[in-house]
Amino acid sequence: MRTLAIDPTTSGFGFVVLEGSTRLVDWGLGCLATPDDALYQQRIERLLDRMQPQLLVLEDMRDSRRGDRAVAWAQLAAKSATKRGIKVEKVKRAEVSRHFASSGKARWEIGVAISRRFPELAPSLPKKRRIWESEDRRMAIFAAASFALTFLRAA
Amino acid sequence: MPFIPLQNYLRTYRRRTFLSQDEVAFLLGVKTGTRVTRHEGANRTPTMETALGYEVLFGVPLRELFASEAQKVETIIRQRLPELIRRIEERGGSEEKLASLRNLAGRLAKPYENACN
Repeated sequence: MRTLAIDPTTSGFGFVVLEGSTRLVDWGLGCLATPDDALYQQRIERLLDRMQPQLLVLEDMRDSRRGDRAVAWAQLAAKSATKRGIKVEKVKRAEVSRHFASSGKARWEIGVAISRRFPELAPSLPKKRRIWESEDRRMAIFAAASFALTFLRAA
Repeated sequence: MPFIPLQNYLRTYRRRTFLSQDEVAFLLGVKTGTRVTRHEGANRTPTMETALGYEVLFGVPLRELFASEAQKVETIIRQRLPELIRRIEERGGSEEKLASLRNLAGRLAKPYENACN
């Protein structure tokens, strides 16, 4: 089974594609020059057409502190996937934390655990951010990977 | 939605080796990275020499690099095989040849399975 996981950000999205739960097929960032819904949807649809996943995994953003745009973009991705007959599953942050409990709670620590599992992702892992720095956009790749791995392990 | 292997896994394996498209193009002796982009996007079929180059470079069999194409070829052979066996039986062909073809038919009886699926 091919799984696509997407983490929408304020300026695009991070994604990973897995076959089974052990084979990382593709990963990357979709960066939009302008935060435009139509452009975002176009990029997501192109990705869905290229990768032809059987499953899309997104963050369950109910009761989360994610911004309106991220919530709307996650819904757009889910809609595009459903239109293509792709199953959509959602994972709560709390489940991700539980799944990666042994590695640490912070997103960066989860990123380290993921890059140990998939060494090809290691160059994409940014340095640990300092408290006054904003999060590196590449962390969206690791967030997407954490959703996919949490769901696939749970499934 | 059934699992269908991707057109090819060139991008996957190239990124695992941390090489850029231009670097792969240089190693394979193809003009530019654009050619590699086209191979990865399945917009262009690589020559036999280049395909073997990918196999050498990534250490992965062609069957896995071009999984979708391999699946198509296998399906065609599986479909044609009974007809060939029937023709050879009608002609009274050698038992060794028929045994070899039946052995092949047995090997192909299982539908193509991607190693990762």
